[in-house]
Amino acid sequence: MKTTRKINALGSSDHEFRFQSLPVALIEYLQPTVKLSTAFADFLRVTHRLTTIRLTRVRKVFWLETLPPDYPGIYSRVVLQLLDGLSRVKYIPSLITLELCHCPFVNTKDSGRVDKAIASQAIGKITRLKVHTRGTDPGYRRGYREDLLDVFKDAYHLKGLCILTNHHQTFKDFINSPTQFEHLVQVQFGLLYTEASVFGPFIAKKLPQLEMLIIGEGHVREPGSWTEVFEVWRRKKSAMIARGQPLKLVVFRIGRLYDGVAQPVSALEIVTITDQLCAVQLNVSF
Amino acid sequence: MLSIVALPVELWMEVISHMTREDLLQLRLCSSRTLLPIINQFLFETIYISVGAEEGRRGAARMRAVSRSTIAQHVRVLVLKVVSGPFPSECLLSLLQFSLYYLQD
Repeated sequence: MKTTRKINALGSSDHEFRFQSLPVALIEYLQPTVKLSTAFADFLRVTHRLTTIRLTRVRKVFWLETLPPDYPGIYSRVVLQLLDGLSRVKYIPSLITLELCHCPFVNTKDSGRVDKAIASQAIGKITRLKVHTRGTDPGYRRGYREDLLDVFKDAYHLKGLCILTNHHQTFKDFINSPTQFEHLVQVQFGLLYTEASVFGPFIAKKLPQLEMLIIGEGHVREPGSWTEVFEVWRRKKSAMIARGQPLKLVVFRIGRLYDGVAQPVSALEIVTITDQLCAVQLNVSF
Repeated sequence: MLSIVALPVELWMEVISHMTREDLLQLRLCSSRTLLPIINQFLFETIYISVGAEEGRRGAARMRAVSRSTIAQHVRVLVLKVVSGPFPSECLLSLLQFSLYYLQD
């Protein structure tokens, strides 16, 4: 009786008291008190071989099953917690890939607010970024999605970038400056909307270090612009060969390229262009 | 005579690629102490933790438990599965799924 009273005075119930004899890990599991960001930071401090952090949703069990309405809010809160946890760790020894799979990327009331300082600090510890999203129209209200995209755009140190989306608005003008992502080695775009005057110099600047370039569907606004884009690249390549600098590009895939007209750029034209770009035997597919 | 531990890693990878995670867990339970590091290396290479509205705290507790154990030394891929709150149609659909399964028989 004495013990029970003592525990109650501490603000706990008898039900909780029963767990006190169990191992610490089990108590924490049954009566969780720790925040996800704290636990994640602790985990990162201990592990030394971690290479990939993947955020995904639970696999569909039944084909009729749809995502519940609160999924975007929960997902975005988990992302914020992960970024918070990453920002708390001073040093991560291994190269880390952050994969945001099935990312809703919408502004909801429950999304929470992105602290740009914390988020950029966290992204600074990531080497590769993969975002897989279906996306929707951004709407007129700025919020979680736009703030996070701004942070991604400013991550100049990234070596790998993979953006897979099927919605034209989600990553529109994601590449907006030739000086973005200075250290890129591997690039993959599912759907790319950009300007030829930006994308041409952007890719040309990365050519000496680029190992992989995949564009699923590329759109530029002006007709005939893709030829201009690759022309810039071709000139850069000639200059590199003249200097005796080796090319590193080994994977180069292009799906369809559109330049302001309804018909895609002809495959023959792409073959002609890419044939002159290849450094070694490439994996070119259409 | 060489023990099973002396097998090259490539061969271990080939053997383990044919095993399910459950089989590997069973093997770990009955394996010798010398074999444990190799099995741990493959078994805990990828870990899955559920996080979400209700599972968030549980997921955090589990992550902390992992970080306190030796499992953390082997983890290469951390997969966080986002679980949302209770969804009433899930129960209904799983019931329908089970009934369809039994109707097939």
